[in-house]
Amino acid sequence: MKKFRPSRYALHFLRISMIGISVLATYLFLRYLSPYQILMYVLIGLFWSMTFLFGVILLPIYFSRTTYNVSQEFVMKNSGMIFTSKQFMRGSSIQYITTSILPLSSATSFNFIIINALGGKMILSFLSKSDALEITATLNRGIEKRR
Amino acid sequence: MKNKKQIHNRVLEKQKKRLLTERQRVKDQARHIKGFFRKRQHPIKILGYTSRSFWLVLIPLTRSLISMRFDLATWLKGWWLDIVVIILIFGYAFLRWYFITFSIQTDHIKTRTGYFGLLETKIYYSQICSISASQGALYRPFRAFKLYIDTNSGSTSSSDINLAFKQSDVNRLFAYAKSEKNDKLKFTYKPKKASLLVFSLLFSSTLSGVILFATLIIQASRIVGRELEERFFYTFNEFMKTLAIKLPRYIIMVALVIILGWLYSFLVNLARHWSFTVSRVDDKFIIQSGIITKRAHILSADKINYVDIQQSFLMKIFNICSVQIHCSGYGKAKREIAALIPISTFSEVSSSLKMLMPDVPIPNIQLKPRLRNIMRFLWPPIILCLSIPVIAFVLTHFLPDWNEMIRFVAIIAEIPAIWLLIVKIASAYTTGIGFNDNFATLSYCKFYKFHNVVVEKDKISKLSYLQTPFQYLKKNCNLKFYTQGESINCHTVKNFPLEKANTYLYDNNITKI
Repeated sequence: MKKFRPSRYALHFLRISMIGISVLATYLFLRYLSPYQILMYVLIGLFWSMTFLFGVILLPIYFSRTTYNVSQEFVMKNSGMIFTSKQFMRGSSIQYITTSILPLSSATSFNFIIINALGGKMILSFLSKSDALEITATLNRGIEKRR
Repeated sequence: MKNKKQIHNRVLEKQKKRLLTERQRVKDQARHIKGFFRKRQHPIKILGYTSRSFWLVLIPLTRSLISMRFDLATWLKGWWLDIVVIILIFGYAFLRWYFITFSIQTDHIKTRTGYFGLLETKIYYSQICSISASQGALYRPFRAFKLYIDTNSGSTSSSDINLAFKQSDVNRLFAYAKSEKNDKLKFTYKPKKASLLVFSLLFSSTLSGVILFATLIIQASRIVGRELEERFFYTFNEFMKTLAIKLPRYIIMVALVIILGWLYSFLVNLARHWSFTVSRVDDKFIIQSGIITKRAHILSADKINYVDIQQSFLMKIFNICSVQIHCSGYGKAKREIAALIPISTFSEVSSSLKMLMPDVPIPNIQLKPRLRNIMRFLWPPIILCLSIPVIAFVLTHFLPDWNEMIRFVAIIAEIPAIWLLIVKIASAYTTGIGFNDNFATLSYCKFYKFHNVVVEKDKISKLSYLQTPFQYLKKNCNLKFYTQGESINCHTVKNFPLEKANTYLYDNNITKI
């Protein structure tokens, strides 16, 4: 069994994106909402506090707590920000795998794996490209073996 | 002289080489074009990706071009915005088609779907429950098929893979999926045309027919304009005038809607199941049917969750039944019935099932509810029967002007309620469960339909006991059997003596841990 973690590149990319959105929102609010000063400051504050909350507290917790243990026999996912959760999936119940590798994923690590199994699915998110390909290959080998 | 000859030979060789490279280039180009189309869907799918508004804009645009006697310059000047919209819609549809690709391998199919083909899915044939190909009237001239692939996972309302295939791709995929060997025995069952007529007759629903008919009128009026709708209502009014019977107008209207809806549903059902054949080859079922839209399904026998032998009360009287199967993907399409044997006599069904599914022995019913508790089956329909006249009486008291209509509706509603009471009396005698080594039979009645479900014991994922306060006092229980598959299916078998049920289920390794 091999242990995988979400890539740190994804965390950095998410932080940069959130800062970018907040800067853009601040500019727009300053330009168009200047006559309503209270509303403007409330909205700007809201955006920056959300950026701080997610970028500094919640997302780092999520990225540090999330782990994926993958073998041909079973998949285990530990995740959660405030409440932690553990999910197990037997390899024998896996029906097929869908992999989503986005453009520029080597820089952003926006790669996802959807494991479709009997009675449900499990999503492994923010994996580095090489990890995503390795997990897909491992699970597909498991399905192939069952034939 | 020698030099001249050498020069001549060199020129000839050069010409030959040039010709060969030219040929190679043409060949490469042809291969490239072929490769481009080989991994993509049938181009007709581009039309499928366009929105409905595409047609709404296209029809008046074409009409205007014809009315302008193909004066392109004026047409372009006057309609440029609509033309740009059409180009944009078509361009978007083309891009969707371009990015969706697939490859068929000997043991799996790989697809790239979603926007920009970002979702890569690989499905091994061993995991596939059903592959369905359908060819409608629009697709037939282009030799295109709609292809649906389903596993025991993913969405319960749509297929895991849904693509438009060329004939050659369908043939290739079916050949790999069937992995048919010549020495394997093949058993084919083909029902008589008369049976299919009866099947369509019995399984036609007025409600679905009315919905279908209304959808047809709405869609047609959207495309053709309000002309069709107005003409329909005009004809209807004229028809009403010609009727010399002194019946209230709304009664004739309701009757007509019911008859037309039912007739439409019947015709749709008949067209769907005409020339139905089912073959068993090795561990696969091959089912073909349809006259306007032709359908072919390949089902894996080991992926069939359960077999459901269905009967209505009338079918029970005439000793006929319909065999339906629960297999992911089969029966998922709109108004599709997952039939294995559409309709036949009970004895013929038993013998055909033995040939089609020799590995599924049907256990006999061994545990039945106590007949002295028959009222437990009858209370709901009795309450229904009594409540209709009571509601009608109350309504006539408050709405005296609507007296005639309320009475009419009450009489109409009372008929199915009484019918339900008769059905439930019969169900008290037919309900039961039975087990053998590997299989279980669950016989129960749901609304108006009698079900005889044959399921593999291993595929029962959950069992729950349920007791109402009255059942608690009489020490009875309802048993709920849940079966696994793409979705959870529940089969409720009612009114067993609790203790007997407990022992019986324990003895048959259902509740034994």
